[in-house]
Amino acid sequence: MLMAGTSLEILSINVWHVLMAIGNLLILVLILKKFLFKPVQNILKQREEEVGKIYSDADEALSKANEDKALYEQKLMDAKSEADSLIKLASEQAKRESGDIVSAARKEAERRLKNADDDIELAKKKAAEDMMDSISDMVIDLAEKVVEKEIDKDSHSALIDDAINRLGDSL
Amino acid sequence: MEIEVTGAKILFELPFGITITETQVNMWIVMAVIAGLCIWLTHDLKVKPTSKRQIVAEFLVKTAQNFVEGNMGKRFAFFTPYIAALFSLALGCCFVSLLGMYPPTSDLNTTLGWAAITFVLITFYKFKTNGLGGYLKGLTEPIFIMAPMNVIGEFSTPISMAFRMFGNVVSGSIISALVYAALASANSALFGWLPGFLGEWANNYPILQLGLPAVLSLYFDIFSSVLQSFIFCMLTMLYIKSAAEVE
Amino acid sequence: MERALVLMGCAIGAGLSMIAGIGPGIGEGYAVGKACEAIARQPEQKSSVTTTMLMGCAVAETTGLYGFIMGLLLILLAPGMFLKKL
Repeated sequence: MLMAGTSLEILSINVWHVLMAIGNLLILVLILKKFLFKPVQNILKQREEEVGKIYSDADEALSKANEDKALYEQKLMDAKSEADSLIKLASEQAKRESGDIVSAARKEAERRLKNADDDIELAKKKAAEDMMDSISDMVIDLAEKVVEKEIDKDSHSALIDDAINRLGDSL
Repeated sequence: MEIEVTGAKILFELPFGITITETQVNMWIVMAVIAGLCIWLTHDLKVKPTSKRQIVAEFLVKTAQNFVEGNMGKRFAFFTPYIAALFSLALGCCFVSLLGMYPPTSDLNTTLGWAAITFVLITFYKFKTNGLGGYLKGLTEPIFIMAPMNVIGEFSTPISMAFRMFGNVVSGSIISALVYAALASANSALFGWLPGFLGEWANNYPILQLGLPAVLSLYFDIFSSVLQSFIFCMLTMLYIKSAAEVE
Repeated sequence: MERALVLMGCAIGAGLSMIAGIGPGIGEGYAVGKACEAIARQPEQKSSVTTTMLMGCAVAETTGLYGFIMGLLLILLAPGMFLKKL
């Protein structure tokens, strides 16, 4: 009855054909799993991973940028304070140096003033001595001229010296 | 006009009484086409889709996943390839008739085989959720006298599924054949009396067969087959899901 | 005579088996009418209502298909089966 070229009845049940239908369906399940679902799901997973990576990279970059910003702000603050301290230091040094210079100048001036005073004193002394000499001579001459031999140099020298000394003291 | 309604032609004979009919050969053709389509759609996938092919492949996969997860829940997401294979094979086997080939779904063995898988899955999940005792106890509800009816009910599920698909496709092809035959006889009745070569020509080339069978084929081969494939998958999913629910 | 009787019985049985078409016809018409009402009430649920309706129609069609298959058996298989015994 089942010969090549003939047809099956329209409602016939053949166990082999049922099993073949089941097998065909299961084979197609495997084919679809292997050739359609697995590659596409792999791709979808890869895409998800990539998107996740992009997000995490962005987060990382953002946090790094924030870190950098904080670092730069810190550095800026440091630089500012350093500059402040430098300026302070410099101004202090300048103040100190200027004080030094001023005091040195003052000292020099004082020294010079003192020298000048000494010179003046010396000159005064010298002048006074010269004057004393010349005055004593002049007084003697004057007195000789005034008294004309009335005054003996030797006898009156004590008196004259006394007068000169008084003169010198008043100078 | 002879109208012959037969099953699949037997093409080869193998030992042990195994025969290869048009059903199997056409099903293998459909499977090869589906496999080739899958390989073509996925042959060079990229993370950044550049081709329409890849977008179509991703759309198909996502649609199948959403369909299965929407009807069965996330727990049964691993059923997606099975449902997709069932749907594509049923659809392809019905669409074969558009090319004038013998549709494998109009062979009862095919639909019976697919329904048997569904039956095995339903029974497996009933055992898994309720255990053997619970399953047997469920058969005797509401009272033990109803047990034979319940057993028949268990078996009627796959049989009704198989006969639904088979009946739809076969009724379509039988009605198409009847309409073809009717149009041929109407043609010879209308134009066959013409003298000379005109009558012969009209008998040999029945022009009335041009219009109506196309409309019928639109309904029976496309609408009905899509609907029946969809319903076969839907019923499989719903039965399995309800079998796995704890009562 | 017996052959004629067998064939007659098969043909009448096949014709009667298509009475089963009444049930699905009424049932599906009722289902589609209810679905139209549902869509009119909630147009935003149109797709899910349509899907459910088609499912229900297909399930309701089953008994009609049983009748069709009985008719098929009676016309295509039963005459051969019974006539062989005569």
